[in-house]
Amino acid sequence: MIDFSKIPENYNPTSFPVMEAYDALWGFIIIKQDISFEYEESQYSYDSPTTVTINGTFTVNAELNSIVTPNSAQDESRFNAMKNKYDTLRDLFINASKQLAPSSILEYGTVSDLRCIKLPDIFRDKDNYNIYMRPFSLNISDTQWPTQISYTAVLKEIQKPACKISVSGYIINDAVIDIVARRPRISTEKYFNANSGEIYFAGWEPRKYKVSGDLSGIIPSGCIFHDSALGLANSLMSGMVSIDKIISNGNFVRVISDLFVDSSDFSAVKSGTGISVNIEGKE
Amino acid sequence: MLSNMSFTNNLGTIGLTRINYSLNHSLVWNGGSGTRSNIEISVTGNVQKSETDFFGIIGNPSSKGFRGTLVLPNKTYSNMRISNISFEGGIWVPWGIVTMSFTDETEDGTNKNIATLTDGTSSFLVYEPKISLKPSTISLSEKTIHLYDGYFRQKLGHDFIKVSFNGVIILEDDFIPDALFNVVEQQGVNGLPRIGELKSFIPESESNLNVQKIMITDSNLSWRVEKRSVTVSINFIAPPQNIEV
Repeated sequence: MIDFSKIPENYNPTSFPVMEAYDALWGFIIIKQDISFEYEESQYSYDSPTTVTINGTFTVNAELNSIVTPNSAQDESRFNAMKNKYDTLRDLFINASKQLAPSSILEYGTVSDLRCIKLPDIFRDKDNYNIYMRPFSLNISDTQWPTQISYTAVLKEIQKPACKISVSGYIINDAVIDIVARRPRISTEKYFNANSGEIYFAGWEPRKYKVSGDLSGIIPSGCIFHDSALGLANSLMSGMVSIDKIISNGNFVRVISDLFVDSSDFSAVKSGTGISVNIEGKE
Repeated sequence: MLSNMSFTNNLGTIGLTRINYSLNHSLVWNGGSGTRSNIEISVTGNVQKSETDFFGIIGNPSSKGFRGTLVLPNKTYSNMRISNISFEGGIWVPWGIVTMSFTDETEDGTNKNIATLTDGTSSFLVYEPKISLKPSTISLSEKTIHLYDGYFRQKLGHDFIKVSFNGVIILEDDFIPDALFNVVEQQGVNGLPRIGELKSFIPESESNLNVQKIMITDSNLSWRVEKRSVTVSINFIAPPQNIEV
């Protein structure tokens, strides 16, 4: 969440407003912030991730620190100055897309989260700290090479999840735990030609669980499956697992002890970075 | 001041000044009868950059935001859902322009579409509840008599009543409380399934769906851990009977 009250005010009502936000990495920038409210199935409660759109411009004047008059002999150096600025920013975006989520959810959206890029320094949160967001796109359109490059960058806030589910120490992202509650074994008997009947009860069936979600990790280059999936698959060989949650302070809390595993499956897409996991078992 | 607005929910209040706003009612008809109206509201207004209370309703996973009350110059709308806030890029001046949008599909807050699930000790609010009923009808067997080109019908007895109920429960924390398991796995005396009136499980059913001697046959929970919500689906069974209205 960006606090706009931290933005320096250069507005002078007696003259034209002047925008002087220049950043060595981002160039001249203006920023737009959208907050979407994502409701649960309940339609009653929401999460509110922020999307930031930065419209930036690299100019010859700023990068070469001089007013450059049109001259074809200078075109190459001007072009390279602009291109280098853009390449630096692009490399930062692309490199972020290759990073794993931090092992601790405490580090989500912080300087330790390698998936994130620091927003230009003038944008701070309410406590005046730098803001780190996950980049999503970087576009150039209809720009004037080589005198300037204008780009649009979109970044999204990483919200710290309330907790993460861990099976045998492997983190399952966006976990859904389906529970078939303990239920009575019953059979029913209608009375012939009558408006009545009986229900026979024969004990209770145990609770059953199914954990599904995405396993953290990136498939190593040249491999078709990733190591953590094989590690988790091997840990299921014992036929029994425990499921923990990792809470916001980083501690593990047991959710289900000694779950007998009925079945499990893992699926991966070669080009993808995630592996979907299903584990079924009962108490 | 007439040209101000505010939106307040469990996390705080947001306010804009010198607003322009648009109201859009769309009316929903079902089989020729009116059922409800939806409202969509879009407000564009100004906020001072130093107005840090503005961020009060944003929240984070440890403090979920709920629906709230929108106060506009013409009317106060309760149970409103905020759907978007947008700050324009040119916000380099002391007053920034902000656009916010709201919706409500529950008849101006008069029907909040919430039911209750209880075991008499603990209660949980169930959002977006859906209930379905399979009444007690007579099972018949038919025997065809070819010689006379006719058939007999024989009454085999009345079927059991079946009720299913599902909806979403919002968790206050990142675990399912034992009380919720107690509610969906209700036991009565001697470890038998608890048998009672439907209203003792779902109080809202008292008005016109009061089934007697009903019990839970099975319950399914789908717990989205990181979103802190649970979809519950419960099936009930009861002996043949007329339903008390």
